[in-house]
Amino acid sequence: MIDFERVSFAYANDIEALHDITVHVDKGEFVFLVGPTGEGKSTLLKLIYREIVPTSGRVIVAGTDVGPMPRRRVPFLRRRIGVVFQDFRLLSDKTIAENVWFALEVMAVPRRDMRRRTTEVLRQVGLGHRMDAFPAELSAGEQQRACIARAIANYPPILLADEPTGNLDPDTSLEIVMLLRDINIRGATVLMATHDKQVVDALNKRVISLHRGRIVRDVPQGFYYAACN
Amino acid sequence: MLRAIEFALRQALTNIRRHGLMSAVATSTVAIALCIVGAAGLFLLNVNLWMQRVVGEAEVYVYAKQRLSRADALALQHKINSLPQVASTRFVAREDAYRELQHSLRRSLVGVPNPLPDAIHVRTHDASQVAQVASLVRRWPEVEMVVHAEHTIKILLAVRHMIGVGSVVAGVLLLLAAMLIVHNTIRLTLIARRREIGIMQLVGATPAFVAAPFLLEGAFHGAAGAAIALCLLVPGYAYAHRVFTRSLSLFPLVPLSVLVDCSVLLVVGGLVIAGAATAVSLTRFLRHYHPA
Repeated sequence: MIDFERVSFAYANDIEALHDITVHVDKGEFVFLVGPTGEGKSTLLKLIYREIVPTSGRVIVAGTDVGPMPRRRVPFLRRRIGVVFQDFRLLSDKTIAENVWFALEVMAVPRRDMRRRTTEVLRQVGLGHRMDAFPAELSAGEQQRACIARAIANYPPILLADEPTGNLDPDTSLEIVMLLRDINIRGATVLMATHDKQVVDALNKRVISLHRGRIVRDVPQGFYYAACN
Repeated sequence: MLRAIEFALRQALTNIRRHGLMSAVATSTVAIALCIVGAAGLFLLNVNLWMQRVVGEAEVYVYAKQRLSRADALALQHKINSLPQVASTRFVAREDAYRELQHSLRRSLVGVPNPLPDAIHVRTHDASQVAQVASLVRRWPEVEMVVHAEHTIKILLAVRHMIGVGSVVAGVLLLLAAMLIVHNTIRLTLIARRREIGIMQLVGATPAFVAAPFLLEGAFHGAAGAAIALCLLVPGYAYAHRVFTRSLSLFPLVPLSVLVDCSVLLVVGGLVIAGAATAVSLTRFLRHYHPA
C-alpha cells in the first residue's frame, strides 16, 4: 500500500529530517510511528500525502510514485488519504456536520450522498447526537472525533494521524486510538505518529521507531519502550 | 461544474459579507481610481475636440505675385492642391479680398487702387503639416508671401501632447494604486482564511476550486467599483453637457453617446484590474502556503 524506497528528505536549511528510509506498509495494516518530537515522524507522513517531495528516493502510495506526480494530480491523491491532526483543524464558524459536509463538497461527492455520509461518519465516531454543535461547544476529545469523521468521510483507503492524542487526556486518548483501530478493522490502512506510550502499548500493533531521521526499530507487534530501546 | 460554481459564489458572498469593511475599502478604491481615470478620459476627449477645432481651422495663406495673371494664379492653386499634405484650397480673388477689406473697414475706398494680390487659403490634412507646406510653397517664384500661425499651432500641439501624456501617466498610476489595494485586500482575506484553504487543500480541492471564490470576490470589487464610478460620471457628464450646450455653445462637448463606450471601458477596466490583482495575490499566496 505504501512503500518508502531509500527516501531522504532535507529542509531548505539543509537539515536532514529523514535519511535513507526504506519501509513497506501493507494494505490494512495499523502502524505506529514513534519517537520524540523532531525525529521525522510528521515529515514521513507529509511525504505520503505529498505535502513535500523527497530529496532522494521514491515514495509509492497505492502503486503511484508521488514524488514526480504533477501538482494538478495531487488533489486526487489526497482524496484517497484522510489526515487527522493534533490541533483538529475544524472550521470554527461551521457546525460539526457542516465541517464534514464542507470536505465532501470540496471532494465533489454527489450531493445525494453527502447527507447520508455525513450522518453515517458522525455516528461512527460517536457524534451522532452533536451534529449541530459548533467546535467551541465540544470537548477536545469530541473535536478530535469530528476531525476523524471529516478525514474518513470519503472512505479513504489510507488514514494518517499526526499526534492525534497530543492535546487529549489519557482516557480520551485511548478512546481516540480505539476509534482509529475500528476504522482500521473496517479496512483502512492507518499510520499514526505519536509519542504517547499509553496508546501504543494499548494496541500492540506494528511499531516503527524513528531517531534522528532514521528507522532504528521496526517490530510487527510491539510496545513503545521496546520499540525505542 | 455547476456545483463548483455555486460553491464558489456562496463562498465569495459569505466572504464579502464577513469582511465588509475591507470589501468596502477595496471597492471604493477601485471606484475612485476608475472615476478619476474616466473623468480624465472624458476631459481629454473634449480637450482634443477643442484642439482639433482650433488647430483644424488653422490655414496657410498664400499670396500670389501682383504681376501674375488670373490664369497663372489659378494654376498656382492647382499646383498647391496637388501637394499630398493639402486637404483643400480656396481661391480668394483680389477683387473679393478688396471688397471684404472695405467691408471690414466700414468705409469706401473709391479711388484707391486695389493693392491686394490673389490669395489661396490652404488647409492641410493635419495641423502639424502647416509649417511644412508653408516653407515649401514660400520658395516658389510665383508666390509673393506666405502667412500662417506657426507659433500658435506649435503651442497648441504641445499642450495637447502634454495633456495626453499627463492623463495617461496619472491614469496608469491610479490604476496601479487600485490594483495594489485590491491585491492587499485579497491577500488579507487569504490570510484570514488560510485555515479553510489549508483544509480544502488537504481534503483534495483542486487549485481552481480553491481560487474560484477569490477570483469572484475580486471580480465583484472591480464590477462594483466600476458601477459606482459610472453612477458619478454619467450624471456628472450629462450635467456638464447640458450646461455647455446651453451657455457655452462656442465650446460644444463630445456627444453623450460617448458615455456608452466609457461605461463599457470602465466595467472592463474594473474587472481587469481587480481580476489581475486577485490573480497575482492568489498565485503568490498559494505558491508559498502549505496547509500543514
